[in-house]
Amino acid sequence: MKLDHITLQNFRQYHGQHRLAFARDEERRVTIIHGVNGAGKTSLFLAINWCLYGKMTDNVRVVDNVGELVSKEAVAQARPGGTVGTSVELRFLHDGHRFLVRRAIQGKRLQDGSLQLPDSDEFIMMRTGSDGQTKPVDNPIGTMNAILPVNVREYFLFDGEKIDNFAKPESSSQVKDAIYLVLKLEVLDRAAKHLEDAAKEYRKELRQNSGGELRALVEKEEVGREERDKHVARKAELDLQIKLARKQIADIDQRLRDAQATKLLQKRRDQLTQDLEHRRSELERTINQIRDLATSGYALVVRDAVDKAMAILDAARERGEIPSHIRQQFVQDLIAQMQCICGRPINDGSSEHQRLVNLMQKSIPSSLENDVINTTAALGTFEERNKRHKQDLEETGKRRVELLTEIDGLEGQLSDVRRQLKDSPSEELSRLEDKRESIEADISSYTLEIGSLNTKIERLNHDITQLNAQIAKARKEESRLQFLSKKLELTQQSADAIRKIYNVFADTMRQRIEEKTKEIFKQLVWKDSHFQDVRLDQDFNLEVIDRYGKPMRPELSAGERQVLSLSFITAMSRVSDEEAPLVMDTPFGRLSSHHRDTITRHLPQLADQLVLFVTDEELRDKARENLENRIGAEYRLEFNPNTSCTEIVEVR
Amino acid sequence: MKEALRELFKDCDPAVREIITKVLRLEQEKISVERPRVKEDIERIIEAVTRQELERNVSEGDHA
Repeated sequence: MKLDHITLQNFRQYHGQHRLAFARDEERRVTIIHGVNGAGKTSLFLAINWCLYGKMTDNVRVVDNVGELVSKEAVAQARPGGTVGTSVELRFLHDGHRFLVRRAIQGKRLQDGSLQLPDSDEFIMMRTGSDGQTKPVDNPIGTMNAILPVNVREYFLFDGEKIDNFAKPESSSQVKDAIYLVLKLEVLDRAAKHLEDAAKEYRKELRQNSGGELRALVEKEEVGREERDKHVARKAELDLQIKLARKQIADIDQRLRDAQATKLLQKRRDQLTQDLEHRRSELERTINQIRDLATSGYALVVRDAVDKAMAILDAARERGEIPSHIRQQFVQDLIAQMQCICGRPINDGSSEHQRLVNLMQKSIPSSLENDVINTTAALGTFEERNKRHKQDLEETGKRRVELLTEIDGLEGQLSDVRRQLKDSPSEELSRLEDKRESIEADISSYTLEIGSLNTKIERLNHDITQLNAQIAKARKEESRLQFLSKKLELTQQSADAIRKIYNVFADTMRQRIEEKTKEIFKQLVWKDSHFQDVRLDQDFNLEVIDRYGKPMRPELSAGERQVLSLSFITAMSRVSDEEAPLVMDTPFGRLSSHHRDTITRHLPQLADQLVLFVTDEELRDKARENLENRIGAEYRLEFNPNTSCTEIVEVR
Repeated sequence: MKEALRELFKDCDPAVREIITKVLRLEQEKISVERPRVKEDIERIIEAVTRQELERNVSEGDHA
């Protein structure tokens, strides 16, 4: 971040509009703003802070106990009830972009001369990209935090009088906080913690949901499929056996048909077999017929209900309620038009009107009337259907018994033929019949096995279908779990990677800051040979070691503490690569001429941009001479006691 | 410092590096908040990178 311009409008003692450009050249990077005590240096310093962060950002107080921000002169000049306010506009450059931020607050001047301000101010941030396009920034606070977070700003925009805080013996936690924030250790720590929290949740969800269900289901489905295929193969084998057996029987029958002794008996068997087949197929049809009749026989069950419904409808018909003589729509139309069909008007509340209203209540809607007529017609056929159904059922049942008897008779006759063939005087023919009987027994046994196999195959098919549905569901769940598992893997790896580098990074940065602080401190402090070392230990305690090797921070003078703090801050700024200016309000107030001399000599090299708010006394003689060639912009703040306002005068 | 950080993460898997970079940026944006609400944003980052990673694996598998 490099400051470019600031424009103030009615900000504290800066009545009207004031503009100031900051030096940002490579060589002349120092801006000097000087004025006597009370001239408005702190107000200008405050304007930068307020513009960037407001009075408070994310619970971090930025502007506190400073009185009114709006120019008192502007308030005094406003008429009662009129609007008056202040605004600060700051332009700066960061990361190749040009930013413009503007904060404004407007209130109403009351009768008693006071100002009524709203609770919040207006903040706008615009960014100009490399394409020259200027667009508003959607998340200005987040963007500001990425540029210079509010809680880091105090290490770059600081009050010189409070600067020695870091060097006080009791301020190790402040040093630690500064390092954590400026060197992004806090960011790393939070990122690792939040990623670990996320990984923990993913792990819990994964543990609750995964159980190898898909694998078990797939295995089960495979077993079922194998078993079914085995049954199907066996069934095909049996079908073939049956086919061969039938062929053998046909051959035997032919031989028996050809032999003189068995010719008649075989012919008889052929006939009986044919009859038996006819009867059996008729029996099958009859049984199916009975099944159909039985399933459609619900009419018999609801017979009582039908009788009652018919009685209700008959009674309504006798009372003349159905069909109604007058249509409801007709009565409705008469009431709506308030006119009789003869053309006479019907008055509201008259006896005619009342009669029409009564008729409306008695009449039934035409749709309902149609339903009643249709229902009556449908119920009327019930009785007849019941009779016919009962008759069909009796006749079919009778035929079934007849067929069973006939089949029984035919089988008896067949058995008789078989016995006669076996008793044939020809041994060969008798043996043929024996063989035939044995083949028939085999066919029966094959058929029985096929029946059993069919049942098993049907059950397995059903199981496989169900398993496939379960597998599809489990596969969907599995793919969700796979995604979750990958999320866990990446999240945990990210958290681990941060944790792994954290200590190395923190320690490297600590050492670099230690080294840089020592280097800068040695440059800035005039008693450099008296101080042997500057240490920043593992617990971030900042310590100065004297020539006797003893820690001597408690013994440091106020000026030396200020120099140590300044060394630490500039060291952090250098190590962090934060592209931020050093803006210092009265930085040399408590320093002796020795320190002023060394600091002014080295400070411009320690910051990319330096803005110094100084009193005339702070910057004179040698100190001024040291900075002379580095000053790119200089302003004098002139306070006018007659108007209580400050003017910014450009000196160079 | 940024370079030092980048160097420390250079051996990480690119997907892990992407998550770290995005989460660090998010945390930086919320650094001034004491208890930032970042859970949903982090979830979104992880989801997006994971999806991208799985799609990349599938497409690499298709090419192989």
